[in-house]
Amino acid sequence: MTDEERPPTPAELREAELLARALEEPSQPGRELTSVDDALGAAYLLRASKQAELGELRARAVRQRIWRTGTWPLWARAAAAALAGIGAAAVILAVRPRGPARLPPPEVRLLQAQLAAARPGSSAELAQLEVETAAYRERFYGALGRAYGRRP
Amino acid sequence: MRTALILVFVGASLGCGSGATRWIGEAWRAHAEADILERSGDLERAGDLLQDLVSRPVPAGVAPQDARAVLQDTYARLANVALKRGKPADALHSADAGLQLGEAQDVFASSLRAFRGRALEALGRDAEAAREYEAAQAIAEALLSEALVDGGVR
Repeated sequence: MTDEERPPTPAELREAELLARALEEPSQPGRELTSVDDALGAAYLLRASKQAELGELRARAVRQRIWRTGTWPLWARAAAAALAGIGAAAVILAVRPRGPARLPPPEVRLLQAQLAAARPGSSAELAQLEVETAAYRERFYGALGRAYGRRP
Repeated sequence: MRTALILVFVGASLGCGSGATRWIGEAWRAHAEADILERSGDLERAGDLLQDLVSRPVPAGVAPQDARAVLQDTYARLANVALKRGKPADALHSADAGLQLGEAQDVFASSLRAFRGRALEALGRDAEAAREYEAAQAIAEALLSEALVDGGVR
């Protein structure tokens, strides 16, 4: 006689009856708590936790929503890198400490005008010094403009 | 992409409008406007314009030597404008302010000394004027020797 042919034991019959009752009347209040209820509860919990778990597909979707790098085409990524490079270079050039400009040497005529103005005399010497200084100023500001990135 | 654009914007802003570049451009324009005003005979406004330039703070990005050169050139010009307006006391004040920035063997110091001498002479302080003339000539002669020998720079 096999296990299947053997008649159910009283304990098995009792469990089967309780299982049937639990399935037919799952929410009936006040019924007896048994091992079947426990088993059903455990099964519900397992199924619920399985549903809440982050599956492979859901995880990939979440990753794509958070971090969209994969969606950029190659040219866009290259353009962004180039722009970042240009920007960084511009920032470095703009904030780097400037050295003193290499000022142009004074013209002989300016120095002669200074010598002439540095003695008692009329305002004619001062006028000549003014003319020569203006010419030097033009060159002087040109040198400053080159040193500081833009000709005034 | 956003980071790249921010970097480009910040760099462009700093590069185009850096304080040093702007200050030098403003100084250049102040002198150009003073040229026009002086030619039209408006010495007072020319003086005010240059006075405004020297009153502004110098941005940190300007090398000290360059700041000194720009300011001393402007003070020398202010002294000359004051002398032309018949105000030797103001000329002396401007020359002193320029020399207080430091003194090097250059054309700016030589000019300031020459204008200071002229101001002192106009104020009747001949002995002091003579000393200033002497100091101005010493600088100019040294620079002239350099220029004739090797075209020395600053």
